[in-house]
Amino acid sequence: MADLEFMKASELAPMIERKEVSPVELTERFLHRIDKLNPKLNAYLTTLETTALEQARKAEEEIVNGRYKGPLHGIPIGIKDNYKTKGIRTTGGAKIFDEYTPDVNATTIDKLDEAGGINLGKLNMHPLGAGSSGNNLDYGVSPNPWNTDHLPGGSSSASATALASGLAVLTTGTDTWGSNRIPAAMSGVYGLKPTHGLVSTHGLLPTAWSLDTAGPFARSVSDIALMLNVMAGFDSKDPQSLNIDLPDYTETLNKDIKGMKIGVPRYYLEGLAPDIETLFGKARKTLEDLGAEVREIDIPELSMASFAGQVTANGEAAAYNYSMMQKDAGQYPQDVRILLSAGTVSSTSQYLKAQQARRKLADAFQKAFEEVDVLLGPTLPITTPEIAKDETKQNLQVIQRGLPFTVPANLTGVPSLAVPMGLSSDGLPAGMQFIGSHLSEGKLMQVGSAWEDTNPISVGYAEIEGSHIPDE
Amino acid sequence: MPVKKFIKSGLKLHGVKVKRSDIPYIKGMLLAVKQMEKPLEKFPDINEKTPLATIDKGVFKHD
Repeated sequence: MADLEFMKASELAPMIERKEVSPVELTERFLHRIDKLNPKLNAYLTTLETTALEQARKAEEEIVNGRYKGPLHGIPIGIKDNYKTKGIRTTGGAKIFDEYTPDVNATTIDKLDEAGGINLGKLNMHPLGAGSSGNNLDYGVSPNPWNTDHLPGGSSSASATALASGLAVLTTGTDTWGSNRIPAAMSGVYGLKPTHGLVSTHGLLPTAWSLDTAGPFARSVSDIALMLNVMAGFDSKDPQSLNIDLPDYTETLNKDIKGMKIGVPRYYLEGLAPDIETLFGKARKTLEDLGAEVREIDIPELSMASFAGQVTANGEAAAYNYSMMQKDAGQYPQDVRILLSAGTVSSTSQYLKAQQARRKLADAFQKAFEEVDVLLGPTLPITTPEIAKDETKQNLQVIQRGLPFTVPANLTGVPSLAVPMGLSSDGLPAGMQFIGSHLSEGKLMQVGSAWEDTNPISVGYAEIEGSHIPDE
Repeated sequence: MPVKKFIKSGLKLHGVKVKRSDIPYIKGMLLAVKQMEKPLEKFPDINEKTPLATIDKGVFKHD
């Protein structure tokens, strides 16, 4: 059966349920691809051949015996390496955690396990989530499969590269200032930053507590919805977890968006690279053709987002790493050490000023959502850069360009769905994001799936450079 | 105080050894943050806002 590795979970699941596809054979196919492609793509820091096949055999036995659990049963999944996994090393992408093996799972790992997902391994990432370039000075970059000379975006770099290159059906990510959405944009896949508190963050290696969220990555919006159905939910171990009734996030898929009010903050139209401006203009027109009412709106408070985001992230990351920085700062990769050092010497008054700006932005967003259903903007104002020699400098540049676009959702706790927008003139993907009010993930699935149906990226993932196994 | 000196003494105060090659980057980050702070001047009412601090379920006994 051709191209099983590039099928969506929503396509594979009924085939698995009908026993037309074997979870064991499916897992073996992914392990084979990982074996062949990982030396070049460096997507997996740890591959779990033995336990993945054990999980697959268990899933197959359950399904054969009529105990099908649901759409993730028997589906191979890659896990970002800042999710704690019991008995499996969890590095956070940094060598200081090279030998760290947790004795507990992150809550979301337990949930995915209970749903019958197969853990293929732990995915490369920007060390400790402290970067947007997606480079990794400790373990090496997982390059962009569309063109391996280019950045993958971060911090959930390989959560995106593994999907684009057919090394997992689904992956997990975390998003502190854009870490799900930036790599999704650069590799042309879908990534969700959920409402703060909707998905448990218990058992994640933190980057910045008040901004961190865990969320799904996939090659389609329908798969994002399937995965969110499993990952979302109250967790008493997470003090920020929301105890609410949850909808079925697949219910709003494929509903039309006629009359939906989409607001484009004028702030998001400034300083765009020409390719991004062109693609975004086309996207707005396409959404109007689908029946949405797209209008520009003013949210001047967005101008404070970079300050609030950078100061909050630097300060909280510095606090978490404080004693380790005192012990041996030299253990950290330079680009991460720069952020931690800046956070260490920054003042508490500056941090609290950032939290005042944050509330002002939250108020402004609340007001905006009284006028429009969702906000829309490019995920990044730039096209995907080539990997530079001075990685430290490049990471700071990508962070600073991306922050105004991505961090507002983290600062205000609202959800944001990153979708591919099209291909830039150099053939690399570019992305845009739909931002909703708190707990409006269903609406994001609705508008995201309507957009996906317009086929924004005409090139199939199986056709891209990084997906080809040279000798096959 | 010059920024370079501020960085060195600030990190020293916190017991963190600083690498000389890091200083230009840290300086760049701190100056970038200063630039990012400028738009706050356009919002003179910002001090009317209580900082958005995390008061979560863990601190409420009767949720």
